[in-house]
Amino acid sequence: MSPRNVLAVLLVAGVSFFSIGKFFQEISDFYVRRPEVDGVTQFTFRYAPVRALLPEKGVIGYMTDPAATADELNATAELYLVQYALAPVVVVNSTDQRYIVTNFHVMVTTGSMADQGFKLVREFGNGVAVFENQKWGKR
Amino acid sequence: MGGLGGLLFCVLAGFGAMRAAWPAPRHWSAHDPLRLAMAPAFGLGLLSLVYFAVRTVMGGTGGVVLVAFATLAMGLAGFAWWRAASAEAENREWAKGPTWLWLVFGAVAGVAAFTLTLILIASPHGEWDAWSIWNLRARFLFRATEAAAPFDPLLNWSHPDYPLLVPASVAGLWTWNGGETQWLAAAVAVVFWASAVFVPVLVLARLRGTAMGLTAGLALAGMPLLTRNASAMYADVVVGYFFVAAIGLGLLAIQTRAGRGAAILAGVAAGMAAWSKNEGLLFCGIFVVTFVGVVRSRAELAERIRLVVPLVVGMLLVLAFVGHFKYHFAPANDLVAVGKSASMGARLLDFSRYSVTFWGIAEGILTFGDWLVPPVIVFGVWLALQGIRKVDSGSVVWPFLVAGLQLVGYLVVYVIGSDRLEWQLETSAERLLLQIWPAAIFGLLYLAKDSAATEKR
Repeated sequence: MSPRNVLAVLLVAGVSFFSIGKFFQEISDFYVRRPEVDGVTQFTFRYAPVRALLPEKGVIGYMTDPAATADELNATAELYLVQYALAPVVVVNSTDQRYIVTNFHVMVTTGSMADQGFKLVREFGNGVAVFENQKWGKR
Repeated sequence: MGGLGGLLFCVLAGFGAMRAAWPAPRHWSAHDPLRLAMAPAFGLGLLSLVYFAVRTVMGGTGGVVLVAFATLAMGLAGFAWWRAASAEAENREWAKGPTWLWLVFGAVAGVAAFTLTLILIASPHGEWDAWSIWNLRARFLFRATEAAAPFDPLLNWSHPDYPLLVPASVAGLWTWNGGETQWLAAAVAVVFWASAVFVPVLVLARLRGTAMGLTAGLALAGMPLLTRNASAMYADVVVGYFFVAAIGLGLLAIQTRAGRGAAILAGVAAGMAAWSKNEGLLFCGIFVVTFVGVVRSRAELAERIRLVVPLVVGMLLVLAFVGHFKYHFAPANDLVAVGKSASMGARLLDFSRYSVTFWGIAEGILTFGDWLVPPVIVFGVWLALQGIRKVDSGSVVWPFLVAGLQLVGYLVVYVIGSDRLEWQLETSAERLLLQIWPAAIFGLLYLAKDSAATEKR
């Protein structure tokens, strides 16, 4: 290799080495401070018992609370994660289904849900429950 | 047999396919490192095709997938063994290259691989598009009892029109494993990251010298964005890998005695790009047209015409699956659907969209890759030091031209197809540039002069 070739390769090698090194440093800092369980596993773990309850196909409605919908991006992410957890049942962002699954961040009583026409099927804790829509099929 | 067994069968199928189409004697041969480097990604592609055909199209069980794929892998290996009996010995000339450069490349690739592993351990489900598109589809494919379930119109937000190489290969490995486990999805990400780094190194080392190959390896392994995107479990590295693999195999078909066998594999790789992401369909068109069209003499044209037939056959083998998926299962792509309703013609005549797109891409190029110095500057200086070699045949400029035309294609799609142009540029330009990056760097290095020693070889 001529000195020009060596210089050219060293240029690429230097930038490449220090760029990936800096990236490694950022990631290793993040890695040591990471939560024990990653966010996706943590979130979807709450829905594992719901999945066991659901059939192998079909559509289920979804309800969350206003506290969650205030942050639109986060609300969308949570809906997609619920879908990720409950596949192959399709989760739709609507309560106009016979059964709905909830993702509540604040306390909601079964009484207030009953007033809206939703009867509790099973509660799983951490804001997760399945309700039956009493108005379903009556319109 | 477990997920590891599935991965080993992928390597067997991929290596068998490589040697069946591009035979070599039964002993370890000069091109076998390249064949082996290409084998896992090709094998995963084949597994995804088998999974789609058996589970989604024919409604077969997971057991049928295993039998079908194992039969295919062993059939390919057997055919390769049979062809090896009459194969010509391969040229063993292989310059080792400077040791210090190997050490630097090893250090950069090692740091990148370790970083990739750390991210995959910390985020085993990947980033947003992984769990809302690719891994979600893998779960649907693996769990659903109905073939159409993963493509339900109610799931339009998850782009059910996206091709299935990544999700079907993950679902295929889960079938081997007998259950879902995220480490297999991570393994798919690692395979494609490693392929995108090592395959260009080996092809360039063969065609342009080891120093040039290792320079490509540094540009790829040392790019944080490539590692970040692979660890996010997105499909951009996957499609980018198949772009560069197709170009590399196309060049091997033209430049070496690999000929028609490599041409078939080049076509299969291009088809696999279309089976990975919709952008691959654009690539297939550009690839075939430029393969035949970018020539400098009649003799070169005649040679390309001789090779394009097996190339197209290889491509159609995979595109038949893509076509079946698009026709029977996938809804219309959102860009096309929006374009239809809002008149692509009107967008074509709206010149402000050209300006927005141009500056969006230009900004993307200048800040691309998370390098400490923008790659355009680094490789501008690099090219000034190296110089451009004499363009004595169309193949010298062909790889870079393919990458350039792919970028032009993306610009056109932004201009005529995008409904929310600025948002789309902001969120996708970086990933589209990344898809082209391995092919662009390969093309640039192929175009440049190498050291005097290589020029003489």
